[in-house]
Amino acid sequence: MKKGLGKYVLIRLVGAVPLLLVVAVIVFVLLQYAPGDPAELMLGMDATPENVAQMRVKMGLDKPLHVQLLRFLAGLLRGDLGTSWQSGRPVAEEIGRTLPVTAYVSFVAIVISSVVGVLVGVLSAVRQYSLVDNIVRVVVLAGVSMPVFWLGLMLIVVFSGFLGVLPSSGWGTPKHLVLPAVTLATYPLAMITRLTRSSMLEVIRQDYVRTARAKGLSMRAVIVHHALQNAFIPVVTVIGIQFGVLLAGAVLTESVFAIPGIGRLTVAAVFARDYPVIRASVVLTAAIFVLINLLVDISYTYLDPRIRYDN
Amino acid sequence: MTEQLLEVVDLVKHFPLPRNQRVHAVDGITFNIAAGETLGMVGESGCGKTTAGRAIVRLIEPDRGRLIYRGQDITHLAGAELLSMRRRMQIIFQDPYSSLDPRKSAGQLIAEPLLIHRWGTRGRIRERVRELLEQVGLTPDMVSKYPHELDGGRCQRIGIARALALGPEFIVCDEPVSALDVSIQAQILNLMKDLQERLSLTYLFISHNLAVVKHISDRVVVMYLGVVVETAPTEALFEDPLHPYTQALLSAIPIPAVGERRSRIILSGDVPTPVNPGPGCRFHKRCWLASPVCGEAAPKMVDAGGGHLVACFRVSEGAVIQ
Amino acid sequence: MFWRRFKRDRNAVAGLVIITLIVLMAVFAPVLAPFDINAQDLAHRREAPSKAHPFGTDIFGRDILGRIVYGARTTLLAGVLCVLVGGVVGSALGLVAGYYEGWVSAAIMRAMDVLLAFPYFLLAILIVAVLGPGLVNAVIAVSVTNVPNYARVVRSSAMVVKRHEMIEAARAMGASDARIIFDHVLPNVLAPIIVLSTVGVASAVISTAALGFLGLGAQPPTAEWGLMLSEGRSYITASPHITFFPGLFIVLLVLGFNLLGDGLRDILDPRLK
Repeated sequence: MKKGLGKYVLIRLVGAVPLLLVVAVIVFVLLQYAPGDPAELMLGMDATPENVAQMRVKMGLDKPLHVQLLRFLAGLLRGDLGTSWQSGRPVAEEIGRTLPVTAYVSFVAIVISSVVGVLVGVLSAVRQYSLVDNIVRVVVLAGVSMPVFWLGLMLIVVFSGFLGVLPSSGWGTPKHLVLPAVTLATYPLAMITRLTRSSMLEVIRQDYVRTARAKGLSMRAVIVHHALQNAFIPVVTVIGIQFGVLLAGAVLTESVFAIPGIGRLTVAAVFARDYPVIRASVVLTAAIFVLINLLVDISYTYLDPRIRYDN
Repeated sequence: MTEQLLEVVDLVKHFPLPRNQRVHAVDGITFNIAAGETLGMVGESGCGKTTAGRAIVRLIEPDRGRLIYRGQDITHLAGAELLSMRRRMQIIFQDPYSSLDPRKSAGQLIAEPLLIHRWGTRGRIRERVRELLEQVGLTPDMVSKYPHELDGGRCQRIGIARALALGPEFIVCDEPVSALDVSIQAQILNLMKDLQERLSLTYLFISHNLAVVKHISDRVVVMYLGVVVETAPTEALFEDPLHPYTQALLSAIPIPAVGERRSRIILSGDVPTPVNPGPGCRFHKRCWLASPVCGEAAPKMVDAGGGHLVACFRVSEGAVIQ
Repeated sequence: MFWRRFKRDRNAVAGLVIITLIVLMAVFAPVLAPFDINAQDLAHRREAPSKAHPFGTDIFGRDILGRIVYGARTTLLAGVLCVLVGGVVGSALGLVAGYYEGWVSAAIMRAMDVLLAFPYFLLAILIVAVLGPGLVNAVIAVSVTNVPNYARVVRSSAMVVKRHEMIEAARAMGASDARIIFDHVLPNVLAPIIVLSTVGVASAVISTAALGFLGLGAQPPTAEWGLMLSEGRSYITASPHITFFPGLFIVLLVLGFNLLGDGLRDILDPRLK
């Protein structure tokens, strides 16, 4: 444990609470400005005014705005996320069902992109300007320029349409995981490859590597040593800085492959005007985002000995 | 006695630091500048001379004190009044590369004050820019050159032309030659002297370089850690420095003449900072002549005759320093 | 000087060529596709590429190539607008926050922190949820998500420029704050803004297309590449060309802006990573 780290983490966590409360208030207030009455929407075209009024009471919409807001915030702090207007089930239950799916796919994608990205990045750096390196650089550029939803659909065309070896959509078996994980892994894979390559190139040029080589260490030994030591930095950086991109990828991937994750839940809730679900998933994702940023900053301290928190 | 152009009265500027510390950059300075003269201001870096210069041209708001310009209190001028004051009062900066916007040509740079003050039509401004270029010894074809295409001396000439554009009567020159090559310094100094004569300008010439100050000034103010320790006509100051600090400062100048000898005074003690200074004379910790009283109260300025003012107890108590 | 260095950067030149071609395509759309791109021809639905329809026809029998040509207008305009709106607002906030210290700066940056606490795509979805689906609203949403990036970068650059003596020189001349900000600070922070904007168009194109794909962006029958490719989803294995071609053009356009942006970054602003 680094000196001062505990205090640093505490300060960050305490600072995150008001930030997330502001996020929650913004989400709540913004949704109030959405056109249309959710109660009417819920009941459909031929609902009587009495039905609508009853529905509004049931949904808590008859209370003044600030009461609704306070109820929502108090619920959040207690861990009560409310009830989905659409399904009638607790929002916590909906999220508990969908979040693990998203987390699972994302985790697999990150593992794939980390392992492959570091290996390819090192290989590309060692053989700078070779054919392999040039191909890698072109593929990386294509990877960061490719819309994830299009890539997913093209993979479906090839692997479920043309080759017929993998299912095009759905969830449940290991086979269902392959295409979504590969789709979601592409962007981080490209970024990690790019960062690993450039940081490896920097290492190779450094004096101490030349010294090590002069001492008779093989290039392989030098690379393996430094690659292993530095491999996690690009990975952590990508997870930290690109979390927003990863999440966007998750939402779109889930839509393409019809995976019951939290991204798909959120988009469906937007179409259905299911405010409790929208609110909860946005606030929750923002919380995860803040938490991941903190974890990323902490892991930097272990990866990079120059960073200290005790001044 | 010539007319006073500017009176600086008890000017104070402190900068806050973390943990309730304060930098006493300028700590109650008082002096006058007569119309048409060049007042040199010397001191080591960090003595507050730059802050004083900035405060005088109203770039920094002083915490206390007054600036009287031709009888008018300009300390708190604002808006249109301040703007019209800026026509009469200008500043030349130390580093021409940093004080000239790198993305503007010489012509645009010199025209800018004219544009801001709606000085005239486009045609007249163009004419004025050409005239100014000539005045500072630049050729008309420089008008389209950018700072990075010119050497330091030429850039400083642009800085001078810009300061002259609105026809000011008073210019604060903040180390105008110390960023330049020695060979160019003399050219710029002579240009400034020449301009002063032709345009009857008044200068406050700030510098840490005593030789330069001696060359250009009529009178000199010596600053140390935010206070003025000595003021005198140039000749009197260099012939007969009264304050121990001035003596130490002057002893550090190399003497060009053969045969002359002067013992060099090496200052001891900590290099002081203007952070939370104590009550006594600012110099007492490094002063080889200090007595107990020097650590207890700050000496007042006293007149040693002939416009030679000094703030030192040894002078005020009648002891003559040798 | 700039051009000599630019011409040596093969990637940047390639990017500029791609972008120029797509811009020309958008400008000359009526010449390249001199027919009604929204005219349905139900007898020729989902036809594979042929001489008459080089990219085939979509689920309503419309010519895909023609729709891609016109779609370039929508996609380019949307991408550039996002960057323009987000860039102008964000840069203005960044300039003000960088130039004025104290509470103004603090207030602006805290607001940016709040925006950044939202994962950007979720924020875009939320905004569309409030404003309702549609291309204009999608552009607004993506613009908002762009604002904090500009504000941060421009603020830190402006804080550096502000310390230059030229700013004091301008104040000594009597220049107003507005004049100093627009005439001295802004031109000196333009390089990072240009770099950010170029790469920003790439991500804005993807984001608006993604919203279109989810049904939250452009609405039928608009020819927008993201929406077009989503219209082929139900027939993805039977008629992949409906999805393939619009996506290919998104990749090309995004690639063009990424290449150009990387090149400009190397030339204009080596400090930005």
